[in-house]
Amino acid sequence: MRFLIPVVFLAAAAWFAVGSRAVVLPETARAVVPEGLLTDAPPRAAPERPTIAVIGGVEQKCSDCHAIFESAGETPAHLRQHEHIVLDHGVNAQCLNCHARTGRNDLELYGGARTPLKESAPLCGKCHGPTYRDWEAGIHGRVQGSWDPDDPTRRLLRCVECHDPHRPAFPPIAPLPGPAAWRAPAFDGGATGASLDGPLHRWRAEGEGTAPDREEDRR
Amino acid sequence: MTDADTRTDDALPPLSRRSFLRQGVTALAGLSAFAAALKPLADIDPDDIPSVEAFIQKHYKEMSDADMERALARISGEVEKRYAVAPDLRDVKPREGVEFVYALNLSRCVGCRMCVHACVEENNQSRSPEMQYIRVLEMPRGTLDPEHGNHHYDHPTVPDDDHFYMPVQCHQCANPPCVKVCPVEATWQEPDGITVVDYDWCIGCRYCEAACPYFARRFNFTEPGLTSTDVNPDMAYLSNRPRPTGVVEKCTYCLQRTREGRLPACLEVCPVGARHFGNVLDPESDVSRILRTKRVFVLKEDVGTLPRFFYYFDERYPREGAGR
Repeated sequence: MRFLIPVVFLAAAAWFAVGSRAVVLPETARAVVPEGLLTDAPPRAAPERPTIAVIGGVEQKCSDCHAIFESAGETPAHLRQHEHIVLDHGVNAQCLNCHARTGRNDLELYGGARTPLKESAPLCGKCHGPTYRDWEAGIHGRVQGSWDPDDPTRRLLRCVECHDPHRPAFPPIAPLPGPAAWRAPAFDGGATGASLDGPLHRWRAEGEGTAPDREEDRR
Repeated sequence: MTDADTRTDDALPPLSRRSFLRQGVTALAGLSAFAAALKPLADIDPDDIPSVEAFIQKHYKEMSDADMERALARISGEVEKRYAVAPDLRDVKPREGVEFVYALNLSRCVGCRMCVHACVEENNQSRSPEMQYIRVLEMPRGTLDPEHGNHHYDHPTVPDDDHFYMPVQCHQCANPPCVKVCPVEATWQEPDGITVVDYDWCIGCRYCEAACPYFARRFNFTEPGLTSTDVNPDMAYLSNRPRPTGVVEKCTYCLQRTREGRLPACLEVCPVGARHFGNVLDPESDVSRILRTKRVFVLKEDVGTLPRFFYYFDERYPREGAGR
């Protein structure tokens, strides 16, 4: 019987010497992040002035036409002109709520005061008070440059550098890939032998990345 | 027979054919097993063997300026040799009168994971196997239970109307359990509140990883998969220099950037401005204002870690389906 022990050792040694390989982890496909997506550049270019029309190869200012064509005091939401503008700004559905009637290159504040298009914050603040207050305090919106308030490179983006004033809500975007390290493979319906009740997959309902909807979890 | 002969006979029994075979085979098996056990050494890349300099390098806190200069030169040389990129490696010291704090607006976060990938690119994390410091948990609206948070969500677009998103990364605790459990003091809290790791001192026991209640630490099970096109040459000793196998790493609030006044990479790319970062000792900083004016909370307050990472919701909790 004792003779078996060295035989087992020999067999194990032979297996280790010939059969074993260095541990190689399964190669996971690298996360694909579109080039140029990860940037601190403003999401939109804030317009100095809107280019509404190009007539005869020349960009026309709003006021160029509106000096000639007087428009009604209350413009309806659906115009026969400016049809490319989609106005999706909640109850704020009137052009002249923001645009100055007699000076179309500007926006109009309370009491007829004017502000340039890209300096819209005080106008936006007429309705979005708490957000405007936060923005003035530097706690709403994107920051560039530095965390230090005294650093001259620090810049807080203006409203229209992120939000389209005509459709201020951000459109939904595609998420970048989530964690995919080899030790947490995506659940593939049982081919890995992982059970839905296993610790890694407890949260995963059938085929969907949603929270579990089971009796014991609802309690 | 003499006494000496008798003793010799007692000590060495006569060598029979059977005992010769048994002992010979046993010895051969032992030697073979020993050789087989050493076989993985044949696969070692000579570049992976630590240099004598690395071996005798002191703990970060005990290094003199000259020691640090030598260490930086050595590491720069190793990085350049391995990745063919000349790094701008430096030891960035904390600023006086600065304590960093993060604040994250959960009403704004849309779960796009841009922060996750900006962090990976900035901090030279392994791409394969993939390592991410930030996890974005997706939780059903009306709940706040990270236990049921899902970080593998893959909707075609986010935000999903029925969920909200909560990014979790190192909270840079003021009472960090990970630091307490380190048996070799390879991780500690810096004066500006950032908990760092000396990768050359870490022994890879992973106690800190187990102690962290936020799953903020990551372990390099293999050689980090990093190619020369991936390498970010802007490096600091305590943060994003390439890590070896077998050490723990973590978010350092991008100290190679933030200690020089810049913003963390995760904040810079956030498309919705949900992230705010700054010096909590400055009453005029963003984060001080947020802590004063918003209803902030910390994750797992009950475990007593005193995080420097705060979450809050705006006054207006986003209406269902209203976008953000």
